[in-house]
Amino acid sequence: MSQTSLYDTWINDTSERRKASPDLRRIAFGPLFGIGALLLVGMWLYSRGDPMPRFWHAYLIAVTYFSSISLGGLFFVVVLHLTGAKWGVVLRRLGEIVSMGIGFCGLLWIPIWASLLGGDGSLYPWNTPGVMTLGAENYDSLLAGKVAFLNAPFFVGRGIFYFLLWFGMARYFFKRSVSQDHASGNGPMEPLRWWSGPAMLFFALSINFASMDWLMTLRPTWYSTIFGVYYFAGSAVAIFALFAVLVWRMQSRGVLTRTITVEHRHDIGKLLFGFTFFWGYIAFSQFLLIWYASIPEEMQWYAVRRITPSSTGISFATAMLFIFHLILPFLGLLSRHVRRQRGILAGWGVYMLVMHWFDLYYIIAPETAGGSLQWPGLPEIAVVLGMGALYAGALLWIAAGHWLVPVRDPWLAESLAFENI
Amino acid sequence: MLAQFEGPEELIAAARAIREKGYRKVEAFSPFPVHGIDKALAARSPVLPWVVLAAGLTGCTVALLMQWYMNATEGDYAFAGYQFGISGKPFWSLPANIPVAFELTILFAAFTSFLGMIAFNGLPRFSNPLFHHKRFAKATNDGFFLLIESEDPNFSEQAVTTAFESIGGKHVERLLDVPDQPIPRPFFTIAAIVAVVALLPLAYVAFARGGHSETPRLSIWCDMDYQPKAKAQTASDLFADGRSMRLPVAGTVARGGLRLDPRLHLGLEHDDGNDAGTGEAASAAPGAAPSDEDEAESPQKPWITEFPKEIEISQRTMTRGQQRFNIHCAVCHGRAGDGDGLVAQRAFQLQELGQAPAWKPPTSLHAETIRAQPVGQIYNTVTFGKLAPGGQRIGMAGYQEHISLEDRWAIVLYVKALQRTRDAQIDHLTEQEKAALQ
Repeated sequence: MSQTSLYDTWINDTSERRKASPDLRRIAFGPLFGIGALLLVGMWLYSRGDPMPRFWHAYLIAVTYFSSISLGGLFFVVVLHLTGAKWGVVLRRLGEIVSMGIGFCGLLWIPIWASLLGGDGSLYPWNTPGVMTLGAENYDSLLAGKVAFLNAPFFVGRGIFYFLLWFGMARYFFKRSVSQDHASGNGPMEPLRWWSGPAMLFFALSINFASMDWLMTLRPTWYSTIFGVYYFAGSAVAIFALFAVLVWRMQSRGVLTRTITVEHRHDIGKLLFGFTFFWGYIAFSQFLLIWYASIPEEMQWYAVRRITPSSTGISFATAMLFIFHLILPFLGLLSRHVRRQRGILAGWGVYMLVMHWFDLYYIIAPETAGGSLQWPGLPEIAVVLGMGALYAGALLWIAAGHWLVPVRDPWLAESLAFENI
Repeated sequence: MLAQFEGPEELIAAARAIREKGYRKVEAFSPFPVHGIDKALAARSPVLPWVVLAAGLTGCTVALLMQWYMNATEGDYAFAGYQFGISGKPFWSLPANIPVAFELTILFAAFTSFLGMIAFNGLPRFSNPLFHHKRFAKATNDGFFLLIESEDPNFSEQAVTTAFESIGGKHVERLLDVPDQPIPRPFFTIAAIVAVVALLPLAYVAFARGGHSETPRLSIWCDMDYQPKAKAQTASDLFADGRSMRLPVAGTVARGGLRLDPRLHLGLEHDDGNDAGTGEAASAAPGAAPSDEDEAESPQKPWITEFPKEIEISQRTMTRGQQRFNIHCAVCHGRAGDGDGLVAQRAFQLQELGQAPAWKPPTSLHAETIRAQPVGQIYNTVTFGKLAPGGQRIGMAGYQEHISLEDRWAIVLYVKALQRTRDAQIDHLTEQEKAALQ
């Protein structure tokens, strides 16, 4: 069957759902936002008495987690345009919807920004009043040397700039793609190819600096030049893991059952596999160099994250991440048969989404006053579930009323006919 | 039997049809990979992935075992490993071994998949019956072909021709199984020459190992042989003070260089604070002058009379002390400690000839004054040196830069043992030892 006739058959096929119902706003918004807000506010009230700002650490873990998923979505959309890859066109709309969630993630940052501007240093130590004031009791000359970069107004300003940039990019790619759904020619799509180049450049730089701000300045005296790539690798893992889960959920409810074929799922699996290994490569590169040189100002980060067994905290935390975030999924996703089974692939998707969250937990949690990595507790889990409900609600709100596949994309026919060799 | 088809879709349809007619030994040829042809031909799922997986695991295991054997074992046998401490890590240190394990995994897997692909395809072959078929050359351009081999159980020329024609095959032709042509002679000659040339570097290496050469060594890649670097004790234009060696930054202490315990570091009960040769000044400036104190003053200092608790008094320390003493001290003081080492003997000779400058002979360690010295004082002398009375700048140099802290204390222990050899009393023995002697 030629591609044209395949496309003609597809466009007239009514056996699957391809459009998100406009009712999603009504159905999704209420319950999801209700549950999410309830969990977040409840957890905040519950942990107000804690000596350390555990709630805000849990909040930061969750917000960087969902930001990374949306950033992964943005990366997927931009890289499809940049490379001109045709296989992924049927998945691009999902990526666009997820990437649009970055705006909502920006809103979630507002409480943290407000507390920073209010001079609260319990989350970011460089913001503690006095550390940068010469003569103050807790003056730290190492931190004071970084005052030009690490000060609340500049930090918040940078954050707002990153989110505006990302939301602007996501919105541009989304809007143009959506208007293509109703266009007669290829007009709306044409500039996207060109803009994907600069967009990728901005994306690469901004995700580097943003992850440095959000995660590395929790320990402002620590150095790692590869950290931005580490966070990006986690984002890419997250988006493909989410795709695996999303496709399984949608198809089991009769959405896009024919459009997204086993071949597309196979590719999601391959990319999940590849980026999982990429994450391991980067994480291990960062670890190996620091471990080998064993310079205190670099090693301090791993020292609280346990490489060797200990009586406090999680023993072998770093080695555990190596085994459960790399070796196990590597072996699990190695086989082509696994990647072509919808249910099994979705299982690995869920697993990797959990491991990616644990990765961020591993980065953020030890920076609390305790200074060692403990097992996650109620606040961390409740906050990520609550924020997950809000985030899912936001994504459904964005998706409502739109086609879930770019129906008039010039390359859709190629994508539908895609087959792995 | 070979038949040509119009295009990729016709090829797939024909492959499916011919399978349905019961033929099993069917092969398809096309100028580019055709999606779905595997399914249409019902190709068996390949074994190669499993072989590659096994090779990858083998590579990983080999790499780990190799590193363990080379760096974590040592013994007195041929091809033994060698325990080489690198960067203070344990000999068997998994994180450091992972890059090699990773690379060997890939190397083994890549070679196996490449060579395995060749082997499973029955390659290399120098000739194939298909190559004698004019029309088949189009398979690299725009021809799509199906082949049924004569080994097929249902094979008969007539039946296959009918079958092919019934599903739209054109130009159905019979191929004669031409035996493989012999490998051309020049091929062997070239291979032999290449093999010989490939051996030349090895032969040269073997030759160079056996002989010796006066000329400087050949540097094909200079690696780090000629580096722009400053050598110790040389002048440098780079720094304002003209030295290539840098002084420690004022007010800093090197890692492991903090010396706060007067017992361990000075041999004193407490730091009296007026010893010019001790404390931070001496430790911060390498090669600082030894103490200018007079010998007469020394006994008044609060020397410690017992070894510090950090120093283990054992046979091991004693042996170590003996070794270090024979390396560092015996050249002047003599192996037995009589002050007649080789340097001292030479100096006496020169003095008799009237050629020696001012020279303070090494003290005999068995002298009454030295025997009476507490361990702290001997340690202090080993560490900071000793000047001749009157403050002349001759005498023994301090050895703190050359000998580690533990080793200096080990030397003190050995010196005490040396002194005991000339001063052994029957009372020093335990009852059991006395009994053993009797």
